Amino acid sequence: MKWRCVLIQRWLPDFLDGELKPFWQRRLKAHLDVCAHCRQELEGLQETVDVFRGSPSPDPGPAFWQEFNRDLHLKLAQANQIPAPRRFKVPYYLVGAVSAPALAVLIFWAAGYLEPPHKPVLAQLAAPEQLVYAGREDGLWQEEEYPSWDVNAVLVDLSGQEREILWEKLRF
Amino acid sequence: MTDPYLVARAQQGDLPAFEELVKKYQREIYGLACRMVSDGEEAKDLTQQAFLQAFVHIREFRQQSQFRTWLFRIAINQCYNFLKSKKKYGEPLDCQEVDVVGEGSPEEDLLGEEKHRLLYAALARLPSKQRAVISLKLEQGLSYQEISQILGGTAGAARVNYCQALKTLKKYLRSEEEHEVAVRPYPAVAARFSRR
Repeated sequence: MKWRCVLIQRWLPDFLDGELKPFWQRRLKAHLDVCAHCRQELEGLQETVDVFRGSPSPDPGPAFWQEFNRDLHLKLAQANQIPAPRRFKVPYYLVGAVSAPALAVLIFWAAGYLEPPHKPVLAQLAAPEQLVYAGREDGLWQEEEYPSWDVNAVLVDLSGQEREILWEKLRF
Repeated sequence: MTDPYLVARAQQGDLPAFEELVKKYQREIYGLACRMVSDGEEAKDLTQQAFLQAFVHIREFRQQSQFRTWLFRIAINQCYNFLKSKKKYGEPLDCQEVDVVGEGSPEEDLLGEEKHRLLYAALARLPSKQRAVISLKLEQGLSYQEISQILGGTAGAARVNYCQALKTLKKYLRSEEEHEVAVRPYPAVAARFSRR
């Protein structure tokens, strides 16, 4: 079977129904006049269609339809009495558009209550000796950890540059 | 009374208007169900179920397509659900084949019944979508566009499905007939095949 026959046979069902455009109808007819294989295929399809149409769905008779309509009427009357459930349908994109900002507001509100652990504001203290006593006042040191030596006595021996170095070390 | 008028009345809860639509389309839906499930009683139940579903959801029908198309879609879905459950749980115990009521001579009735049985046996072997396409196209006379609205997809896909379904049905009909000849070699049946 040639490749042209494969293409032609795809259009045979439409050729049978007369649904092709006149140009293609003539083309297929010209091919069928010379190709026995495609003609045989067309006859097979025609026979199948004739068998299908020759066996229509049976009509069960008026008694069947009377009973059918009676049963269906009862079911429809029953369905008619049941009120339809009210469905408040909200589009999904609206739900997302409303819930995302609400969620963000909730997160920010909750974060406001979660404060970081209180850190001594060491940067505000001016002098190194204040850093030492700030630890005690802020409750960072236990009582036994307080320095037992006189801080001022230590600091007074330091030069300005040494105080700056100590100050930097205590800050970090 | 036209379909849009009856549908509008039914959407307002007018049951007699809906029953007018039922009377108009009940034979078509029953015929389609018979082709799909090959069982008269099941086809009757599926037809009733399809109309019931259509009545319950009639308010959701926006008349963007024809009522007939929408109704066929509901009926096809009911048939698909039945075929899926049949595949899962097996055939129902009270399965009855569709009976042919003939009006001719006994010989004609017998041949007609034989042809009918072969056709339904071949149809039962087709995939459900091909069965639906071939029934909608050959029996209901719908266009490819309407078939695509019922089954989904494009008109081109519906055309391809139909072509494939027709070729497959031809192949199955031939194999069913050859099987019948092998099992029961009646002279009349053999004479029919001698021409091939």
